[in-house]
Amino acid sequence: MKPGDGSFKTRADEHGFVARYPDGGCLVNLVGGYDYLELGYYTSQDQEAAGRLIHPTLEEALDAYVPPLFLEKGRWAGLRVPEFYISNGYFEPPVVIDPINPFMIKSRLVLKPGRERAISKSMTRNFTYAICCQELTENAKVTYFRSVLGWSLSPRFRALSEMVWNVYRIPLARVRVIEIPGEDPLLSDIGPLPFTGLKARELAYLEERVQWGE
Amino acid sequence: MGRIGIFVERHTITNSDEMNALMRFAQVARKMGHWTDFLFRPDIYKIPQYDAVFIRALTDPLNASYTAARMAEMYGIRVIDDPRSIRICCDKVNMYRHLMAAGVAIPETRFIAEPELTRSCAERLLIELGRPVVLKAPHSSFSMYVDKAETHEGVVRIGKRFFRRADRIVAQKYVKSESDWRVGILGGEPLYVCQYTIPRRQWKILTYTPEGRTVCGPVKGVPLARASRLLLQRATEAAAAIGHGLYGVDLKQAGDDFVVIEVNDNPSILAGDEDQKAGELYERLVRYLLPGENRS
Repeated sequence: MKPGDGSFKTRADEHGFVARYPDGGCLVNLVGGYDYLELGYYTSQDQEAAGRLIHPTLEEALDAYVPPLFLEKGRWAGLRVPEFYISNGYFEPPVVIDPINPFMIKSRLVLKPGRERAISKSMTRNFTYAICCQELTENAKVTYFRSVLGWSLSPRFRALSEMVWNVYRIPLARVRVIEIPGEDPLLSDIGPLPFTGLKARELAYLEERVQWGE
Repeated sequence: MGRIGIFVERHTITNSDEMNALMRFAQVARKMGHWTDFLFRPDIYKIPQYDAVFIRALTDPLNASYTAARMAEMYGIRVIDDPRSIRICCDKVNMYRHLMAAGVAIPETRFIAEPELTRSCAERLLIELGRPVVLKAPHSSFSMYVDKAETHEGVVRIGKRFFRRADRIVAQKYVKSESDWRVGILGGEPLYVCQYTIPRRQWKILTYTPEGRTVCGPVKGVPLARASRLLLQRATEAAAAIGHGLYGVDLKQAGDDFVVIEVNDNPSILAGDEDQKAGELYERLVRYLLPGENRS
């Protein structure tokens, strides 16, 4: 098998999406989705239980996927993140809302006032769970980039992608950012980027840096 | 003087027994020279102002309580329950892995991934673990998402239901008993002992009617000095396999021996139940949260 012959992608499954990352001296979990109790989460747990260092660890997966922890960890690391608050349902637009509950992952962008009660009722599951609200400015724009082991196809997000990898240790991620004209982007959220959905250049980048197997 | 933030949710303060226990805790803390405040979800940002945080809300890594616990940890603040214990105990697969690795006496246990749940897998489980087999979703709590199956059809049906929120489930050998023991452990030492009676015609200490009503038996406190030494030893070993915080270890008695059924983080502490024969329960919690800050 030679690099670029296509076998890198097809061999992922037989290795359970676990690869050696020689530069980091660790394993990386390349499932791409690390939601609590799902395949990616247990892939890391299996390796941790066997005493192997793998990223993300269970702690890293939750720090990244629980919105207020993602933001707090970023702030601690000196990354630019928006102002945020945790609420039972109250919020003031313009805002990005992320649920903090086991049954919902979909976030919501609310730019104008008028439907706050209906939105908070839906996002909190009838005011049962909490929400995390990120404050936006009027001219803010929400956008996304793909991060593959600290690298991005998009040159303008490469530096940020490297920072995301260094701080959060999430090998594959779709990162949400808030862009304000004339300012550096604010990190807003991180979500799944399944290995199976990687583009050819992303796969080529990975293939140069990791080898399948424990 | 130390400041303890007690993280609560609405359901915590609407349960009078739980609220009374927290009032006793706050009163004891005050007498020991400390200050307590209740913290609700929107107060999580205030956590850095406290010396310790006591989580008294349903824990789950995807709930606000985990955010509160992890936030406290990030700021170097002592917290019950610590995030690692929440991560382990709220996921039964992770919890049993830790118990098995430490050689704790538990019923024979298997983990099943979703693609493995076939008829032949179910038949093998029934042969290896006997009938009935107990199935648990990893996120089970308060006896919910715990069921038993006598047939391979039952194993597959229940398993499919439990896979809705998780990629793995737990299968265990059934251990019959008339009552369960709960041993509270704090910092590696027994804190209280209770005996939970299983209601008639039930097999779990807590079950629910189709209308959602909770069915449970009486709770009997046992002074630590009168509890079986083997019971305390088994519970202490099980808690040590998880961490050094506050745990409620559930055990079943099998003859003269005890089998650990599970280790819970955030064990319930209800006035008149867990504290009925544990005179120093609240003092010890305060001392644990604020080591080196106690007048008495």
